[in-house]
Formats: sequence, structure tokens, C-alpha cells
Amino acid sequence: MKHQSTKYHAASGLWRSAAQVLLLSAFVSATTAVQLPYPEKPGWYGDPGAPNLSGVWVRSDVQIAPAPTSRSSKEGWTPWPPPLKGAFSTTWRKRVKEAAEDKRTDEPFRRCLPPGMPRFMSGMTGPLLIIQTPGRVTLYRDGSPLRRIWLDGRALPKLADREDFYNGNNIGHYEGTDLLTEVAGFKPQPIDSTGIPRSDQMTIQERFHRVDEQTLRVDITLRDAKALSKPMSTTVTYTAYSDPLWEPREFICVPEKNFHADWYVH
Amino acid sequence: MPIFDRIIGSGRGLWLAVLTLGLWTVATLAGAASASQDSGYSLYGDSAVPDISGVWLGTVTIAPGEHTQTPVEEHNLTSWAPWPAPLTPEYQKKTDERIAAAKAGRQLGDIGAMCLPFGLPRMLTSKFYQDEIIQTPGRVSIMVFGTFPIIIWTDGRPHPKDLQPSYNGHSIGHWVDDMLLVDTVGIVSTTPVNNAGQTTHSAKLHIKWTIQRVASDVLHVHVTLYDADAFTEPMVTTNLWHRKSGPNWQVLDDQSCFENNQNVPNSGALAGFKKF
Repeated sequence: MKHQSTKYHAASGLWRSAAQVLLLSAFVSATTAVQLPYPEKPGWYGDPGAPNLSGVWVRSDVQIAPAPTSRSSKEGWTPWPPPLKGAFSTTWRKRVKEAAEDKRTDEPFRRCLPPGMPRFMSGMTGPLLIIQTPGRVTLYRDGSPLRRIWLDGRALPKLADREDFYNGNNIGHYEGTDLLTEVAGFKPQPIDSTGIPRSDQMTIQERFHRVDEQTLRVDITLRDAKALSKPMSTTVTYTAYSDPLWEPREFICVPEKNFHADWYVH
Repeated sequence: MPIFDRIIGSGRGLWLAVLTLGLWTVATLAGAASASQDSGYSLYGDSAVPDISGVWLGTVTIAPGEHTQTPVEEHNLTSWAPWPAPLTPEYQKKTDERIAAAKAGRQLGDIGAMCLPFGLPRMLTSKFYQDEIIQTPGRVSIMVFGTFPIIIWTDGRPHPKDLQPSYNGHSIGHWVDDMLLVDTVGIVSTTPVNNAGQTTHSAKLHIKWTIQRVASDVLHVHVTLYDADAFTEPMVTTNLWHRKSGPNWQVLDDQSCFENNQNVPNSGALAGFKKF
């Protein structure tokens, strides 16, 4: 190729000029390659007609734990106390009593297990990374399983075929400026820090709405005909985290009783 | 003569240059448009690079003489050359200790049994489960089944100066034609090199690896390990990753190692936990 370029350069002013342009490009590249710029804000792609929810989102202390009221819990769940039915109410009151005595045994965090949905959205600290790609929205948190929301038109799996996951089976679609989700099929983790139980019939509906450049609001509604006499809801607010150098961190949790130095460090 | 004048030349040359640039731009945009319609190019991140997004199942590779849960004849690939690993005396001694301990019934270095991540480089050869690659602007994310993602930063950032050792280390990369060149450092020295978990490396391990799309559903992953403290010469391996599609291959790594790990006693233990 080098030989051909030389021949054309000699034969044609056009090719000479082309070579000059390439030289100019090389010069510009050489001068800019020294300091490569970081992206100023998280990139976005996916459906250009969809709202931009991509990026890293965080919650302030106040956003994580607003002052509870008589009508809402500290995680914002209403109505409060939870409208639990029969045995589910008994289970919850038992857990509240155990927590007061520091004897609670079902808290997943204490067993290094993921809390799952809806606590993935409403009850966890640390950055939340939202990635939008065609047909998918993927949510990542350090130390939790990925949450994959499918926007490709698939339906939720039927109950008989359904596998249950911490973060559930997730589908969604864009509606105007919002992302709407439907989630079903969970492992039986409590839905908040007080230990509200759930049944296998629980579903979650969410509405992601970007209020402004810096603010993301997620309205979450729980429906559970077996465990709840009426739906419960909360609103979670996130703030854009603008540090372009943010990177996911490895987070490992191992029960201390299970830690055995011989198995680990060598 | 000012440098711009030297580059651009005469006025006639300048007009020709502008015309050439215009034609080149039109041709490039037309090429990009056609490329975006070609499934071989990424619609997710940089439209000029190959589309490697999706679900991939790599090939389980083993070192000669090793045993795995998967029959060797199913894969028929050996891993890491040269083998045995060309270890320095210090690291040969550590490896020999692990081999002796295993024979005595005490498995050292098998961090997976503790629900700790295998980390790199093992995750490039121990491909029992499918992984998912997500391409987005400035990064290629390999969502590794059941453990941390490997983020390959392609936005030009360097490795951090104050990098703390981690299981997957820190990866940066760039594209050359159809190949993603990756540079990984900062891997904690407790990750094993091989599936048996007995071959060691130092904290100086430096991995140079490439991901090449050789067909729409095949990736070649070439890996070279450099470790001036532990190896007397570099070690290399190649893995084949095959694209998997359809609902049966949908990645569902929504599991915790602690749910059903028979190797961990008292996995329901509540008395505190240890964070690393």
C-alpha cells in the first residue's frame, strides 16, 4: 500500500492533497493523543426515542432513610403498618419482636445473601449503575446479582414454568418519558428491613421517571393478593453521580464462622 | 514556513484537500450507515467495532494431567503452555506445598470452595457457565456468571495509580480492526492459575489478552500471562467462546454461593461476616 500511495502521489495532485489531509489528521491525532479525555457524563445509547436513564445513581442519607411518619416506614412504605393478612401478619410481628431483642434470624444481609427486589431498589446503599441497550435495561450494584429488565416484548413466564430469583423475572417498556416495569417470581426474602414477608403471588410494578438531569424517581408498588389486603407503595429518589472515574468495586461477604484461613490465603 | 502551510501546501492544494476531505467524509458516513445495518458491527457501543455483545460459552480448558468435573474428551483442549508452569523456585515451592496438601486431603488455594471468586486468570479458562458481554460507549463489560463483572475500559483511561489488588484486577483495552486488545493488572495473588487451584502467581501478574471475533458466533480469546516474580517465561493459552442464543441460554446468575455450597460448613451461620 505504501508503494501504491507513493505512485499515486507522484501522478496526481488530488492524491497529493489526500496525503496532505492524512498528514494533517495524523498531526491532529498526535497532538490530541497525549491526553485522552474522559467522558463528561455517562454515555447513553439504546432506543433514541426512549428516556435517558443510563448512568450511575446514588442516594443521600436523607433519601435512604427519610424520617418515618405514622403513615409510612423509614423506607417510605405506605400504608403503615403493612396491611398483612393472617399468618403473614403474625410472621411480621414476630420478626419485629425478634429485632427488638436482637434475635432476628431471617435478615439476608446477616447471611451474606442478596436482599433481592424490592430492596435492591428501595433498601440498599451504594451506587446503582443503569445500562440501557436495545431490548434491555440492566441494573448493577456491587455485591448483588444483576437485574435484567427485558424490553423485547416477551411476557412474564407462566407460574408453572417460572423460576424464582432474588431480583425476580423482569419485563418492561417505555411509555413517554418513563420506563414501566413488571416483576414477578421472587425468592422469599423480606421486602424491607423490618421483615415484611411476601407470598409467591407478589408482583412489583415500577415507574422510572427522570425528573431532571440530576434526579431519578422510581415509584414502586407491591401487589400480593395472598399476603396483602391492599397494595403497598414507596417512592425512591436517586441523584446522578457525576464522577467519571467511578468504577464497580468487588464486594465479597463471607460468614465469619465459615472463614478458614487455610482455604484462603497462600 | 509555518507547519500548517507546509502541510496544506499551495492554495490549489488546499481546495483539493477540502474536496478530498469532503469525499472522504461522505464515504465514511455511508460506510458507517451500511455497517450499522450489518449484524457484524456493534449497535451498542462504537459502531466501528465488531459486535461481540451477547451470551457466550467458552471452552473448559485444562492443564495436562489435571482432572475436572467435565470429561476431557468433551473438550479435548489443554490449557497453558508451557506446562508444568515455568515457576521460579520460590513459587514452585508454594505450588509443591499445595500439591502435597491436596494429597494429604487438605485442599489449599481452592478459593471457590469458600464461595470466593475464582478471579482472573482462571475465569478465562474455566468456562463451565455462560457469560454475557455488554458493549457500551467507553467500556466492554463481561458479566461473569455468579461473580464480579470484568470491565474493560476503552475510553482511554489508564490503570489507577493507587490500584488495590482485586480478584479480577483492572482492565483497559482498545480495538485494532476486529480485535479487542486488553491489558489487566492488579490481580490479588490468591487467585489460582489453573482449575486445580494449585499453581500460584504473584501480585505482579500482568495479563495481555485479546478478544477476536472470527465469525458471527465465535470468539478467539488469546491470553498471555507475564509475571516476573513467579514465572521464568510467559505462559499462553487460547480459548474459544461460542455464542449462545435462545431462552435456554439466558443468563440467570441470580444465585448466591451460600445457598447450596456443600463445601462450606454452617452456611446459615449468623455470627457476623467477613468483608474483603
